[in-house]
Amino acid sequence: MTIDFVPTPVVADSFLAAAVLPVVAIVLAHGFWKVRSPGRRFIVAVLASLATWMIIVLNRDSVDAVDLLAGTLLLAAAILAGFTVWTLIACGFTVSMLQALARSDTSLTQETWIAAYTGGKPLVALAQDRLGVLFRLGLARQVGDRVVMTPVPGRLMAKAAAALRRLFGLKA
Amino acid sequence: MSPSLIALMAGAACFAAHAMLSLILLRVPGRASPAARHAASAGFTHLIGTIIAAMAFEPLPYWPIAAASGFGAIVWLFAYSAVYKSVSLRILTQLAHTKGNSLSLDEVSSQFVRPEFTARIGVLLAMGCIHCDGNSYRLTRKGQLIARRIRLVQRLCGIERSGLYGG
Repeated sequence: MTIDFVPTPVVADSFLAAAVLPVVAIVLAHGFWKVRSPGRRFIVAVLASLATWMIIVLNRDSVDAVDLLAGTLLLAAAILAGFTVWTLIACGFTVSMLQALARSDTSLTQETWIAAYTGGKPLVALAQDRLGVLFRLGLARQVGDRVVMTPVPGRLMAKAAAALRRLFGLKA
Repeated sequence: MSPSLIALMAGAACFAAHAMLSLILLRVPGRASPAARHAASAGFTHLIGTIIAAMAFEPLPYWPIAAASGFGAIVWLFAYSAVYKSVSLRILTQLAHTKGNSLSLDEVSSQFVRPEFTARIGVLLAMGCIHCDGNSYRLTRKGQLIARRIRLVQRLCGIERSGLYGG
């Protein structure tokens, strides 16, 4: 049984490009080139990572198609993993609750904890914030003080989410 | 067929096996977290799949296997996390079942956001990160330590106090 652990040049390029992602995300978090919005900063880091990879790969003399596919999958996996970690530390619900309690010197009731989390805004502001994702993706829209699901993208996504919940054995 | 293509297909087979095994493991009662079950399933199927492929075809390039099975496992976990924890998706699913496919903001707050907040308090209590005293909560020593470490990572990543998607 022989397994070759030496990466091909394209795979090695993917590792390098994947390493660029956190480095750029951290570099752009400080100093005068700071990108203020964490979401935008992550997008810039992803673009830098992709650009690095494409520049290196395009400058190679010959690239095997399967190697290229493997390199693409590796880089895509790294970006998805990075996105998961980034959203967790930037706006993860439980993480942010813990941080809100840590910022407070005293013990908090649920109401004061919610206020600490939202920066003094009411619970409905937290609801609107979470709904913002649905609004931005066109899955729902706000009509007055009501939230309405959009007929096509909203319904399709709701069906997909319900199907996935059933598949994974989660309660509907 | 080139060894790289065989390895890539072996990786895809590892992922298919992981998808099936994880669906079984996620239904088994027990205290292990869903993330741990995903990781155990992905690790086990990758290891077994790599060994079988290496016995059948040699020398076998490793990284195409890792690429296909790793990418599949991450997408699979991503899909699971989205439907398991996302408050937004839960609201959307509920909207699909309500008359007129609409809810008031107050209903969303009281039926989803507050229960989610309460549920996460339960998670933090179970993890031993917070202590409940009557109807108020404070961090335990473990909670303080974890919060400090997270804050360090957030500072390194330039993430100021948020928790809201809108900042």
